[in-house]
Amino acid sequence: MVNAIANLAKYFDKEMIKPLQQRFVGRKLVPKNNELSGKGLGMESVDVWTLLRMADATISLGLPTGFGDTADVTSETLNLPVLAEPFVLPRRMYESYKMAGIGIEAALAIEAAYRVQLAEEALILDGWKPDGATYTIKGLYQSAGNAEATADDFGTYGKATEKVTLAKALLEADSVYGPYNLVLNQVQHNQLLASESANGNPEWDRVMTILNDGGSGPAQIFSSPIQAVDTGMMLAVPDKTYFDLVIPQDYKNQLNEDPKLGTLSPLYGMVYESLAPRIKQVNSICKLTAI
Amino acid sequence: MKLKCLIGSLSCDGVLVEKGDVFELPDDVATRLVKDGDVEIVEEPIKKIFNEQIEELHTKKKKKY
Repeated sequence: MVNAIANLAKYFDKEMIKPLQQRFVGRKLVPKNNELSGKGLGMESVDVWTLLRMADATISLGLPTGFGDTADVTSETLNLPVLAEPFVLPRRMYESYKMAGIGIEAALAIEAAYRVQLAEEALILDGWKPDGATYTIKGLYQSAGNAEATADDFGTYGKATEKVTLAKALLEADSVYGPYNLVLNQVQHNQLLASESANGNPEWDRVMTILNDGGSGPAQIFSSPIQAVDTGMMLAVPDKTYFDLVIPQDYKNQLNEDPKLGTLSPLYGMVYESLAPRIKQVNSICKLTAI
Repeated sequence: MKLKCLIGSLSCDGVLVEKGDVFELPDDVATRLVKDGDVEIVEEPIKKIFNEQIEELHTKKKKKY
């Protein structure tokens, strides 16, 4: 027989301790396209039109003869995937938690939402490769039109400054001007945080000045575990000219019962959304490798 | 090692190339860039001829047996 006091003395904390969660930066890097967003799950793709550059203008003393350039437009279809995390809660379990005053269904929904957001982060920063090899949707890093590959170990003072300066030159050569955001893995982010000159000048400040093009702009240095170690990317600050986020369906949590079982049914839940990053100008992103 | 640039613009150790450009880099750096997917190795003509001859020899052997 169990001693009754052992059970009587137990106090149940109604707060559910949740799994640890990482920070998200994807939506801070890419602005939302309000015109194309909010149309619902029925919107499965969006066609993108790109106007190509015209020939160089001429300078002459008289008016040019002949016809000029015509509109050269390319079109591409951007597919919009669904990101979802379904969950099921057996009825008896749900009733037990309810009796104890614990909102288990809310805790599950929050955790499912986090899992969806994690998938979203990978989609925005890197892309989506369903077979593990070929990207069906390319995110920021995979779309980059520029790459700076000089070996510059961020663990050495001055190397981050050199790398960012080289990347800035590449971006400016494509008419993409600062301020820029910088995305790093936590390893390089921490190395940059700790990097200082022999006189104690933090390298972080120097890098921020370069990212802000000499001013005090909105540039930021982000870290994400999605960004592979020893790599990074430098890209224009959120601007719809370069890239945007098409979100036909933003986060939604749905909780249902099976109508055949009514109040005895398990609770079926799903957190879902539909979105894709649209990279309009691939040259607005510069990959940084060997850092 | 002879390489072909696969990305819009690539800068490495002071070398600046554009998509489609063929250029040379030391083997260790080239291997890294190939792994990153930014370049591909351009087969040198002599190596190509050598590979073709080996392939031909293999084919002949197979036919014989």
